[in-house]
Amino acid sequence: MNGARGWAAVALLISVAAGCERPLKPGDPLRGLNRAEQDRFARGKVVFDSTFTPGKGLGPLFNATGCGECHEEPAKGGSGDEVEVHATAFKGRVCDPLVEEGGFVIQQHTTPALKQALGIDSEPFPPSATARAMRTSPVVFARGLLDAVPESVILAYADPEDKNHDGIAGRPNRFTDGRVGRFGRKAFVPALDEFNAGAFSAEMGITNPAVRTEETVGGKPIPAGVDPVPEPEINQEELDLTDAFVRLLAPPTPLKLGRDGRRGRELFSDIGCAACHVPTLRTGDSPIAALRNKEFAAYTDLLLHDMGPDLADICLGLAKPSDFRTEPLLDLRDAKHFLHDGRAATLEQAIEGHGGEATGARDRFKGLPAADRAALVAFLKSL
Amino acid sequence: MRNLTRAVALTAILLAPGAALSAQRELPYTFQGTVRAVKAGALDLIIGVGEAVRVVHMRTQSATAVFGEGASIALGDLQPGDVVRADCRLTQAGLIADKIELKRRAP
Repeated sequence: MNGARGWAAVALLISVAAGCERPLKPGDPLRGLNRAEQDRFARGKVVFDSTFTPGKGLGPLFNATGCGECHEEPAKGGSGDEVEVHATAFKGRVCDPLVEEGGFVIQQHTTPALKQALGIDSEPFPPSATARAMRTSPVVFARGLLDAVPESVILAYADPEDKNHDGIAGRPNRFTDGRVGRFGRKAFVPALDEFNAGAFSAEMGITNPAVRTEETVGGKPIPAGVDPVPEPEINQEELDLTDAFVRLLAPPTPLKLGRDGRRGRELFSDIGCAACHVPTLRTGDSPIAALRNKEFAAYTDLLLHDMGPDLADICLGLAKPSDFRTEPLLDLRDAKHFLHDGRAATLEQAIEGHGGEATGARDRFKGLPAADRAALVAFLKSL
Repeated sequence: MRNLTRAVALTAILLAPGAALSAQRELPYTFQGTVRAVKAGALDLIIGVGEAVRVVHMRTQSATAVFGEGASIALGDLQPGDVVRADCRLTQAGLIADKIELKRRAP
């Protein structure tokens, strides 16, 4: 009897200790990393936070001088106030990412050497573009967990023909080679390491072992002598460390909910937000124990949904202009602007800006009593 | 499969415009990407790594085998937006496609 009571006391202590775990703040690493992983996270943060110059390979076209320039608030890996420009051409049902005109990311800065050679301050806007999109810098917390969600889980949420008649028709985007996408506002990119490697090129003009050639300048070759640093401009170790930092960033622990917040969480499901912003996802197998078979608060299905004509901008992959990936709801408590282009200054405006498949949930939100709307917003601000 | 596809994509980037040709040997390469354009004797594929996208230009010959949906098809049956896998050789004259397989039709 005493033994049983003793074990019960130990179990209680363990559960209390687990419940009292220090909350994870924005920028913290995942729990449960081994020493080597902690070391790579710390060293990767240094690369992520470093500033590139033309002498280190920056440009000659670029949007930022380092990852940390755009992903910095409230901690490295967070969001930023930069807004970049994307452009594509929607030709019938096919999307052209305008590769022969410099690609769909339109860099907004040039190095002094390129400016001297061509007299331009940014990449020329592609003449064949049918649409322009503005893109804010999202937080990159929990990206390793999102990367570890099996493709089968994403596809299980898909209902492209709305067979259950709920008005929601989520469908996966696909990359240029046909793989299911999950990263980026249009869910174009299938894997985190590729997103990171591509971002070095598209955002900073930094060639690397995965992307060994510079982008063209609006489709024209870079003038001779403008970018003398030999390719690749960073090595595999720097690329891998950056990937490790991003991959191991934890989702911040949601704030403890009060009565209003708990009511808001119920309303979030009741009015239909959770149909697309799926509250939790589960990872599959991973070589990193902290990412393996973990359930986490994601608030996304990683699928595309038609968001209506008011939000529509560019196509990308299979995403039509009005299609957007369900945005993971992470660190909303620190967000200063909302939606893919930052047009909403408040969460209320963001919800009211939803259209298309989200029209029903939006209208139900608008029809709630003021106290319930405030409760739902209080819940979102706990994330 | 995922690693293989990724290797294909990464290899493709190595070959993007500006890469130096290996002068002496005809090196085999495989690309999987989205058809950008089909012209007589030529195919342009969009490939990429993340948001860094590039175009690969390849030539076709009369001997180039083109397959789709379990049967032999003509190069002209391919259309922009189709996803294909192309087995190529890098020659002095550029990339030559030996086999092209349709993997997914454009929407």
